[in-house]
Amino acid sequence: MLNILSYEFIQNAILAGFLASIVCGLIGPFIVARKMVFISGGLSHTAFGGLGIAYWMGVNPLYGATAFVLFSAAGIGLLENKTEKNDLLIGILWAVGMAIGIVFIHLTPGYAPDLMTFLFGNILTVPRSDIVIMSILVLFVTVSVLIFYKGLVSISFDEEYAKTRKLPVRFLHIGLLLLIGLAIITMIQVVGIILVIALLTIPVAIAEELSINFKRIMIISILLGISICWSGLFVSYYIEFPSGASIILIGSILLCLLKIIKKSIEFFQHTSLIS
Amino acid sequence: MKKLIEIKVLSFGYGDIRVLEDIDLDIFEQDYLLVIGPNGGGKTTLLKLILGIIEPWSGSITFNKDISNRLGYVPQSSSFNKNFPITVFNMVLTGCINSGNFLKRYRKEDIEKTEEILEQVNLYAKRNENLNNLSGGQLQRSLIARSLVSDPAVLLLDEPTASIDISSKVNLKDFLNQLNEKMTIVVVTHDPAAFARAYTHIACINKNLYPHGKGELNTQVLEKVYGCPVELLGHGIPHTILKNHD
Repeated sequence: MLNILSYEFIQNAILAGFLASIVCGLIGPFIVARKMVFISGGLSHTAFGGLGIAYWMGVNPLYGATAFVLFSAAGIGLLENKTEKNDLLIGILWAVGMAIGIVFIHLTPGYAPDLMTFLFGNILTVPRSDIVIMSILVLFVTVSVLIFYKGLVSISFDEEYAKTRKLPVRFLHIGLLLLIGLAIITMIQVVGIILVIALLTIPVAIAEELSINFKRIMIISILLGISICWSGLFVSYYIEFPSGASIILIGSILLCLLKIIKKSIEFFQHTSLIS
Repeated sequence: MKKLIEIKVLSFGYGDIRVLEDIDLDIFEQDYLLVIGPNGGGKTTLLKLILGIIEPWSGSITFNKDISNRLGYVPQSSSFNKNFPITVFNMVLTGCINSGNFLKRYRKEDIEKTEEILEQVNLYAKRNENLNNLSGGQLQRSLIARSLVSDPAVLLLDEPTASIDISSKVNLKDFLNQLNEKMTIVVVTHDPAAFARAYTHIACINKNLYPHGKGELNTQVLEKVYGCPVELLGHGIPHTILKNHD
């Protein structure tokens, strides 16, 4: 066991799982509370457009994905109040992002094996250079959440009331969209574009079963994220399962087990009360 | 009596549909105003305009300089995220947040004030519970507590009796009576009988504000406002209408 820790790619994978879990725990609870799962799914898929263009230009695909996701997040934030068809807007962005990615990959000569990593994630192939980028993103997201925590909680619980208290609701909402975008970029290599939304929501769903305190839900989500990512990493290493899918399935199994245990306890408490 | 809010020829609509037209309304210190009218008549819209949540198409709302930013709001229980994981204490504490302090930590005074208000509304024992565990009446009191921590001069409530039982309605009425000694109360409601003998004025709104002079709220006026036959079950409650406010 200790032997594998000496490999650099394993060290990188452990760090990548840790960093991805921090943003998943900090941002996921806001996504769930503000019912922004669909928006987040749309944002993660627009990243593929940026990846494709960056790949075609021969630069680090993460740079292209970051630019595309942030541009889309700002676009959704600015346009969503001007249309009643938000779902349509997000759906179009979702599909257009993927389409742009596919076209530019087609235009790039040769086979693009790395892109499978971005689509489905592979925690074992995250290079040290990307760990540096992820660390910077995590630092930025963490500091932003700490600074704007009160405002973000306020708009997530009761946006209308926040307006009556003259909070900059629109600024906070667009800021949250941008932070979601950065969280997605941080997690792309760990679980992939397609599965990123699961890592943003499953640990939160489990944490919400365990606590009613928003801060505690964040901390529990981070710890669960780390456990799930590292478990997925070792499953992937030892039995050669795809890491992104392993991480998500481990999280889903945990959630199901917890639900079954809670329901069983409630059932036995109920029946003992009746008898 | 000091005039706190002056609304002049106020109009507002959604899209092409005009919801409020040429509303004139003065709200004074220690008024206890009920805003009644049919669904879609513009009651909640008027409240949102006063609170600054939406901007009017035309007209003006002027506040007495003593009360600027001292408006308390108790929303309908359907307007906020009931599934949000937050304790009663932390929810009430969010009432202390405003544009000037949302980047700072809560002060010791904010926490003390929250504890004091929770005692006042008899919810201190429930302070560590999730909002989901509260009854309709307790939830309503917790929302009032949130608005009280900001020390409002005018408390605006939107359908506060919508999802509470009869005993909670009586408690709410008594509590609002107490508050009215210190602040102005404005209640949007479909249930004026729940506030019988407590309120001082009624504003009937269905796009326009319908005045009918001093005296009783009668079926003729209500039928004009609602546009359909009305049976007055709580008839005979004395009040005055705001147009004739003095």
